[in-house]
Amino acid sequence: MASASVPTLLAMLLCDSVIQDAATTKKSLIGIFAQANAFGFPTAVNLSVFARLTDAEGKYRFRIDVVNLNENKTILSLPPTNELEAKDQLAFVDLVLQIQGLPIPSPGKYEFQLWGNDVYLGRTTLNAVLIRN
Amino acid sequence: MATAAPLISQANLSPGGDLIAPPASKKPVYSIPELGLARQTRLFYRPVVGSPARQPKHLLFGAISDPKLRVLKPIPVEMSQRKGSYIARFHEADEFGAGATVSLALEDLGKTLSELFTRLTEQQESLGPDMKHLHAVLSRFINYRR
Repeated sequence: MASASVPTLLAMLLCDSVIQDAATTKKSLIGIFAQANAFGFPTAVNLSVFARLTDAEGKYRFRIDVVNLNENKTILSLPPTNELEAKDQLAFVDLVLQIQGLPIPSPGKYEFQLWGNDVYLGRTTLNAVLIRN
Repeated sequence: MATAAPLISQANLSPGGDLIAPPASKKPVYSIPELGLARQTRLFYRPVVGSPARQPKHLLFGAISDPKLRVLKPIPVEMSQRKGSYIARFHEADEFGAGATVSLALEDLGKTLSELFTRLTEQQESLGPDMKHLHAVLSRFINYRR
């Protein structure tokens, strides 16, 4: 794992779901968003994280840290899971994580940081907003 | 015989949509498919209960945004805080980036390193010993994409 190259993050998006066509393996991102509205906090959201990487070759363990930017503290660290292998450095690889029941304790900005083999690769943000009935 | 010109519909820039937060799930779960295809693992996680964790003081950085460059090996970075700002310092090159959050400080550092590397590479022939050393240090971590 130590010899794996450092991947370059090309895109990172939050959406409702990612659908992959079985025949072509093409992915469709459904419901891309950057803001979550809630009638009250704490709340929980279901979402998918889509990341497109390149320069990846070797074995990786990816993890997502969710950081509350109001306090600059990590509220959640999704543990690295199975070891994933990328074989061609010139190819694009897509990483999809489906998260259900992600706790959002209060309104404000949250950051989803992508780490590969404990190396910071990039981030995307989510704005959590309290809305009134 | 002339072929029909490609039809390009008008570009449309519109505001992004919002998510309405659904009721809390009883069992927090996330799943991660294999890179590219195939298997999918579902894992349950426990949200952090109690005080959230501070951002790490030492981390490895690999997010140079310049598309001409790539990171050859992870850059060791030390994070510190000064007057409400975060400082990301790469000791070996004696360079730093600053920002309101850890990520902004890291992005600032990445920009500094890529600009410095590009400029030093362009002026490689006329560099003094200190700058040559700095260029050599940076070249171990970042280089041009081939």
